[in-house]
Amino acid sequence: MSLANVSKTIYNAIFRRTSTFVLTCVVLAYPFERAFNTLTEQYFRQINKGKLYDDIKKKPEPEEEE
Amino acid sequence: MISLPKSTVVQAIVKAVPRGNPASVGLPTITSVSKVTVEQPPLRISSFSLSQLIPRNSIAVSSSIAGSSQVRYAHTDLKVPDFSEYRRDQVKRPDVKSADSGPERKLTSYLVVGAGAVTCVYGAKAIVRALVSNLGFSADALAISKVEIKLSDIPEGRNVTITWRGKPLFVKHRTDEEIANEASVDLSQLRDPQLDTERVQNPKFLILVGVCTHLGCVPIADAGDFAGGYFCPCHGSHYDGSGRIRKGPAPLNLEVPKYEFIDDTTVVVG
Repeated sequence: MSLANVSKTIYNAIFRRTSTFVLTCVVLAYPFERAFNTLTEQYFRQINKGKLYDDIKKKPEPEEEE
Repeated sequence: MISLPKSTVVQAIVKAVPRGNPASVGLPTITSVSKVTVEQPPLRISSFSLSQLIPRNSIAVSSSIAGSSQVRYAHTDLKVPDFSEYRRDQVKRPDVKSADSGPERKLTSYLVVGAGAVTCVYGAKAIVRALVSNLGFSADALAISKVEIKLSDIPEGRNVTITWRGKPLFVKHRTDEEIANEASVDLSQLRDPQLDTERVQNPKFLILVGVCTHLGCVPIADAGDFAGGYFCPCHGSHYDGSGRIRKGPAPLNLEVPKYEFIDDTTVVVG
């Protein structure tokens, strides 16, 4: 069973000691932050499409009113 | 309460006829018996009093005639709970050692804990950042704190005074002669020894905070005993062409603010 061996290796390498466990959590927090922020930002832009400054900035309206 | 004389046992004894010859049989002498009351054991109704009946120690079978025997309670109607739904699949098989799947099962538990910990670290970082950024300067204050200077507007040999953070800022475009002059100053002559090259990033432009280090007056540019220097009119401090104190009561050289060149002709102070 390779899966059992892999999980055993991971457990012994990381989760068995509190020091490595905490270190892993702190290190993994960085990619998690990147991913989480990117995802929420994308979601925000999706639901606010057309209302954001970036959308207005891209195409300044050619027609001049008044 | 049981009144003893009414009990059948007692009456039987009381009515017993002594053996003897029939002639002597007469009416039995009835001795009056005073009423005896027997303590009735309390009724056990509550769960506490009932629980006192439960044997606590291991019940030993006593072989004596008067000895109490085993107490049995019927529990046959109780169902044995089945927890197999809650058990991990790895430990359901009775023929497999559960110790072998230990790391695997623990990994699953710790992964959940670890995911929570990572989320907590992320949240903690956000909180700490919000608190710390609250302590720092606001964005508008930071924007005011910087000033951009076009150096190409300053002719050679001229000193320009600009306001920066409420203080005057001297920007001097030095001539090559002045640069050479300041570079040749002997450090041993100086009260606050500093090389000219330490005080300028680009030797052509000298940038100073125009506040006398003595008592905070604003010195006058291109005045004093030193060519291209500064002179403080309040108490007569003389600064040279690099803003170093040379004569008078001031203890230190004119302060050089933090600045950086964006390109050859633009400098941002602050």
